[in-house]
Amino acid sequence: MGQKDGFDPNDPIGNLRKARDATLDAWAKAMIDLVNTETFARWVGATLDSYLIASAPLQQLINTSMKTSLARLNLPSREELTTLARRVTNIEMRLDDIEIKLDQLAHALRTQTPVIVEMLTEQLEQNKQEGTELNGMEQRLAALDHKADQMLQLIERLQQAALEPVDASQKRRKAPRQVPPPDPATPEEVKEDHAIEGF
Amino acid sequence: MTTSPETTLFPVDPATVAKNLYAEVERLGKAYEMGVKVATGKQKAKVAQTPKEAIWTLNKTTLYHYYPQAPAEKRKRVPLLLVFALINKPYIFDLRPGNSFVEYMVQQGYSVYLVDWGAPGPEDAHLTFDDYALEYLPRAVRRMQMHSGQHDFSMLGWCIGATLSAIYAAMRPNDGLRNLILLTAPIDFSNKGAIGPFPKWLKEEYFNLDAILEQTGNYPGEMIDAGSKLLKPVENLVGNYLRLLDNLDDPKIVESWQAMNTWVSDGVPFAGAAYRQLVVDLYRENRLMKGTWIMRGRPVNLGDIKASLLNIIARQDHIVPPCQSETILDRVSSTDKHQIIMPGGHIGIMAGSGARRGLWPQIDAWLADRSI
Repeated sequence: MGQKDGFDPNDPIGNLRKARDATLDAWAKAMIDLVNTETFARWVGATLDSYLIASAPLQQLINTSMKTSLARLNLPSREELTTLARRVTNIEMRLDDIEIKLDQLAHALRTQTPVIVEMLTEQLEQNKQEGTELNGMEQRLAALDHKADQMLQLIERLQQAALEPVDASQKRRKAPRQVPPPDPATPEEVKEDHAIEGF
Repeated sequence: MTTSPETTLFPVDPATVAKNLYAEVERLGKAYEMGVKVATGKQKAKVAQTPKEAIWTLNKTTLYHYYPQAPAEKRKRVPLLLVFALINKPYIFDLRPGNSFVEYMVQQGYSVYLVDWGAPGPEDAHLTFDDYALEYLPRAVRRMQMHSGQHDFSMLGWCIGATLSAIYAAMRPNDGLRNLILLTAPIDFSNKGAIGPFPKWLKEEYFNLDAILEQTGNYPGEMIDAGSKLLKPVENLVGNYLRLLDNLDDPKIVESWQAMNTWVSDGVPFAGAAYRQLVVDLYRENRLMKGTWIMRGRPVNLGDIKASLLNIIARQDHIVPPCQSETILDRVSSTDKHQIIMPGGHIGIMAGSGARRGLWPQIDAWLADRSI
């Protein structure tokens, strides 16, 4: 063994370290081979099984006593809290869906608003142009309306003029006629009336 | 002065020995100081430092957006969504300043988003791959599209995040996904002899999945961590700490070690129903590759993937060996598809110190032209 092999007689600590590393390397390789064997796999399985068999009764005892204690204290059990937590997660998912839809809506509004504003502006411009034409039509319609009113008034006047004599004779016919008061009944007539009333 | 043949063979110089020992004592002094800081928690790793905002949450899932840093003229139009695995936390994408993929991509002008699945609780034990890929991920995508104002997007999935991304890409090809990057994606489980010890450990006769999930509900993060460490037990349980001890006098290495160790130890449980699918549908029955995995009443057909595809493989990956990832290229319908095989491990290719000069520029080069 010489310095070429990494051995330095002037560095005792370094030599110890090198020897240690060489030993560890050998161990490391041996252990890697070992953990790759079926025997090791069986040992891992058996160790886990032993752990589970040993811990199961204790865990069951803890679970039962915890459940009883919580029930006595009127506190929710682990199962109840687990169920509640799952329900909360479900609600959270629904909220997430709603939130993303709102965000999409807000995004759409943000991006679409300028387009909509532009469309509305164009529409207003168009309406203004169409409005000028409409104004002309409105004036003509108003003139026609006015003429129609005048015609109606004229017709009414004509009707009134034509119907006036008829109305006057109707008024005369319809006036209550002055009926003279009846002559007082004679005693014979009164008796006759009473006699008739007896039937 | 004459020397004997023995002294020529071992030329011990007491002065050099003393100098080396003194240097070691001095190093130990510094190391002790740093060791105390690390052990007492006074020295902590600053992880996930790139400025970001949470823009959406649902149950435990959060969608983050990283603030742009590049000038407006350098920014890319198509946003990039990062999807990490269901194991550990996604800040591995943004490990620490100077060693952060997120920071790098933001500086290159990408609009970067990140899905954080969070830590599932007992109430999430029923969550499946279907839920993650077809319920949560589309909602996150929808929110990202709304936030970025772009319909087209790129997606980068890592590890099981890549599996989820592939499922999403296959099931929803018309949602706007333009570029798909799969990083160490576990997809093809047919070659059971070559894909490491996991298929052996997870065999039905050894691994009692039902018994575990019945007791735990979700698969515990500690068990996942233990399983990952057992793949290379000496390196992970001994070598890793010795590396820290040897470098305690170097604050930069300590910082880097701490950041990675923080992430490795920061495990999360795996939702029970999804873990069952991982073991049964993927590891045992290879349903995704066979086209027999039914989700929402439809089989997941990898042939329906049409987005431009970049498939990245780590040559020394012991968690997702190359044979699990490389065959997807033959299945997809994408006309624009590329594959990169990088030297390095499952995490190292993306979060290692060489990633800034290695993989990240390659991802940027591929994505830049496709993000205009």
